[in-house]
Amino acid sequence: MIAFAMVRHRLRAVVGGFIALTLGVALLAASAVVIASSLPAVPQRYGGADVMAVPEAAGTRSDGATVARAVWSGAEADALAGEIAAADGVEAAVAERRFDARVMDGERIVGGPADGAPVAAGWSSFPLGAARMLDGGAPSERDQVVLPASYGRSVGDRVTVLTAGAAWPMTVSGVTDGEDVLVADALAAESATGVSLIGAVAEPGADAAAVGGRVRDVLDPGAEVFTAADQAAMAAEFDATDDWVGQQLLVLVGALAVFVSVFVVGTTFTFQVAVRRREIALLRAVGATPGQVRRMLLGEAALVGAAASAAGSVLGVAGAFLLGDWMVGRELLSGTWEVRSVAVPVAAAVLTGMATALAGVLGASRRAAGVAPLEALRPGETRSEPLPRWRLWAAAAAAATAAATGAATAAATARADAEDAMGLALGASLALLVAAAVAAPVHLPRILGLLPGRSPMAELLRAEARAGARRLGAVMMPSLLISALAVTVLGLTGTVGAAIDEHSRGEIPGAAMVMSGDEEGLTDRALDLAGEHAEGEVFSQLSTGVYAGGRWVESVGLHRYAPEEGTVQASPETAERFGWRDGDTVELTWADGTEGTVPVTVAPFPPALELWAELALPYDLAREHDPGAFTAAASLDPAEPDGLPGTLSGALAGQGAYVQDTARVIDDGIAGELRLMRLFTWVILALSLGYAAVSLGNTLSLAASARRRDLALLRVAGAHRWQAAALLTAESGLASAVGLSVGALLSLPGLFALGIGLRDEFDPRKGPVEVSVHLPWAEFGAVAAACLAVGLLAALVSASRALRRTPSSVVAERG
Amino acid sequence: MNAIPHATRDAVRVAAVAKHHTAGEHRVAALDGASLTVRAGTLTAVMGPSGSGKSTLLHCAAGLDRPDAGTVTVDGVDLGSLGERGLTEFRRRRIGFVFQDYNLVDALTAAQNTLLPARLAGARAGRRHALAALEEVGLRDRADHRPHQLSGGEQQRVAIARAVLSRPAVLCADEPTGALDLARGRQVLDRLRAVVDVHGGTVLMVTHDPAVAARADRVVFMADGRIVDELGADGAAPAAEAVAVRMAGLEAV
Repeated sequence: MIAFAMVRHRLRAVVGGFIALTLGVALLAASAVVIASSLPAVPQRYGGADVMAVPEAAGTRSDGATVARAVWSGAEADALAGEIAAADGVEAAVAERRFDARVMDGERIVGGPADGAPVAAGWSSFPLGAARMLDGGAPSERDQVVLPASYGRSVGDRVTVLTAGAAWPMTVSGVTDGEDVLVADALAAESATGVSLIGAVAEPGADAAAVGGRVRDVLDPGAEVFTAADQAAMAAEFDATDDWVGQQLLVLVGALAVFVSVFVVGTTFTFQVAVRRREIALLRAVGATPGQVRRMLLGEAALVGAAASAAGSVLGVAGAFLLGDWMVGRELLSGTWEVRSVAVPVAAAVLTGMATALAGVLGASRRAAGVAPLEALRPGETRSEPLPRWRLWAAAAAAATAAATGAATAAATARADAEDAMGLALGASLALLVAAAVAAPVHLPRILGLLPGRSPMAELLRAEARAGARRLGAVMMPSLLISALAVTVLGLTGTVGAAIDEHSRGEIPGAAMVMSGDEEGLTDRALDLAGEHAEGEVFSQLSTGVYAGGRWVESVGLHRYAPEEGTVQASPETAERFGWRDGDTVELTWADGTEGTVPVTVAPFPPALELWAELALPYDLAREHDPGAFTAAASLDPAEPDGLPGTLSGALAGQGAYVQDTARVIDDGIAGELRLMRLFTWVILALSLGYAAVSLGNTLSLAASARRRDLALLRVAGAHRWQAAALLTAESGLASAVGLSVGALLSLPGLFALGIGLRDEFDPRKGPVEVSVHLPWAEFGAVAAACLAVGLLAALVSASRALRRTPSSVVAERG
Repeated sequence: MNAIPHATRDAVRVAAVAKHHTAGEHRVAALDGASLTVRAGTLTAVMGPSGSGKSTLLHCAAGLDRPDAGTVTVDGVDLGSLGERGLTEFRRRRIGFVFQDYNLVDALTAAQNTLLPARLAGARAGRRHALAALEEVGLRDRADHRPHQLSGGEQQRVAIARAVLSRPAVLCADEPTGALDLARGRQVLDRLRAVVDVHGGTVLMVTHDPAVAARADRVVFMADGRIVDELGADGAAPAAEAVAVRMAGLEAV
């Protein structure tokens, strides 16, 4: 009852905490909904399968994370599927033929893959999916195709379907609400590279787990079988979306929201306690125990937290749709993203919001419980609380940590141990910041005491800074944090950006690159066309793989740099790994599951391949055993430099490809990467600034209303309204300015340390590179100016509100 | 709760109490061996010049402040033996307060304020009890008003209603009429008298106004942290003139 009446009575005072928490919960809920909706899910193309089996694992791809699996040859897979289809409870079993394809309408690309998996499959795969036929029917002939409705074609339309090796003029025989391009099974069998998945549909009423067991019995022991009974495992294996970058951004946003909400709610309630000392004392006097006071404050925070959580989750769910669409638009989430999980993430956000409110109020409630009942009886006196001892200890401890880590940094630098030095320097920076923040009430009045001037206003400012050290500390805190954050993230973005620009322009042979319009890869025909216009051979990279002793070997099919016809070339590392010597003849399993023997030569790869490929194949050999994949990249030296783009691009258009200047491609790639970094940076800074505004507005308006009587006395003593307002504004502005400078100064060492740490992050073959630290001053200036403006504006608004009433009425007011 | 008066029992016993305040470098003795016994069922006024220690004495007697030396016994309980929580709980059950200022919680209505100590104690006191207590101070019709909607005198009477709701062993009042005009001050005093005369309660009141002190059964005078004189111990009501003369004498010293 009491907590409720208090909150109702002091709505204005808790509104700052409420707004901060509402925004926090909204951001958190929106992020959580988007993340939960982007977690792996069984893709639609397998939505109808009850059991799916994949060959045994064969190591990892060159990214170090993706599992590479063995492959079934077509014949092998068909035999297995036949056996599975005959098992009890199985309605149908499909050896899936999946391959890269591009649908063209003349020189225009139509549609495209929904996620990272190849888009085309045989018609027999249709039952494995959850898609429905909207119009027309199966592709009964080789020249018929079923397209997703999103491609915008109707039954009877003519299109060209490009596979890696051929172009097929086709007629649309059917339209689905799915994502796959489906062709006749015979064509799919020729176009795909072996079989990587066998799917089964159970008979109605059959137990999926039992059917899974029967499928397992048919397959060799290494194969893995997933059933619809374990959706999570199925999702983890077959999800082909890549939303990792977007999820990182969201986690960042959520963490920031929680952190700052705790901060603002804490400040709100701490001020509440300071302003309400007398009321709390009165409660204590009429019989509230310290525990009851503490519980009352917690109850108030819980009420505010509950209201803010409710408001925030409504905003957050609405925001999730906008946020998701925005991120899809920026390619931070895959195009198939949609809101599909709401209840759990919102519940998590609400719980976090409540916990945040309670965590924020914990310190304040302890302080409130310490209020003595006698304080109710000492009228007219605002007690200046002594600085609590823990603050001094904490500040001293942080400073000592800073000194120790600083010394260790120097030692590590002397030992040339860059990694240690970086960690330690960052630690030192952080410790200094903590010390500066915690000890603010100690140093801030002294800094402001240096303010020159003999005018009464300057004198008043100095005196007020001494008397209200705590308040000034609270005002300084947001700008300190923002400044440190801005220097660190802007500096990091600037430094990394410049370093990437300077050091990571890999060596791509050839002045021009062949690009595909949908970024899915190139057809053989496009490479042939490029070859006709090239000086020398095209540098093509058909990314494929072979298996040596059942282990995946990352391989590349090449024109330029190709090994001699009928041989393969291993890098020295690969040769060592498998015990091959130059001239050996080795047994390999090709990408399509067939086996062969081939002579191997051992020689280092050119730099452009060295970082990822383990084995090089002549292009045609690679293509023979991997017909289903588009070629990843190709570059060339044009035969007739000037006329090239026009003639070659014109020829390539029918293959959905074009040529571009290599330098420009690299520039675009770097620009894209930098754009992403800058996006992250500005999301962080914009969020922080928004929170600083809420926090400062909150702190200052509470402080101004607590000082209403002082201000009125000042007015009675002869100060103009504008002078009183100017005092408050100047105070806030100065505190913010000090916070900005101190924050910037203290985070510089950390930034330089990061610069040092980056030296080893680039081309490892060349050893450490010179990375110079770039702090974009203009952008930092903009952030600092915005922060200062927020501080001044918040002070001005709260001052003018506090000064609205006539001074005599405030002075005469009791209480 | 205990509502039966025992005219012969001591409601409050303050024995050789000392209390020091440290103001900067200076150590000031607010109480210096003060002793006072307040009999149940009486209204006792404490007078004295500024700084004589009368408010500190009241705070110690009310369990709001702890003395450095000496003992305070209220309703037979030695307050020094109670911890912070025990003292708080004893206070809300057995001691009522009326102060010059800042009496009511702004957020709560008159009725809610009246019930506050009882509710804090977890007692099952309902609106009925609050209305009855407000009735006694003539404010039943203002039960749902918030403090800022009440006059100073009315606020003070709500405070009295709150203080007597639980029938405390002693009601401590610190300048209860200090901020009021004559007529309103008289109403408040009437209510305090009624606490003693009608309900047999005990009131200990600090005042600097001889006219107010004259309404008491007994007036004690303080100087330099000690009780130095008293009027009315013989049972005769102290007259305002006599009180004023004694005060003038003390302030002249």
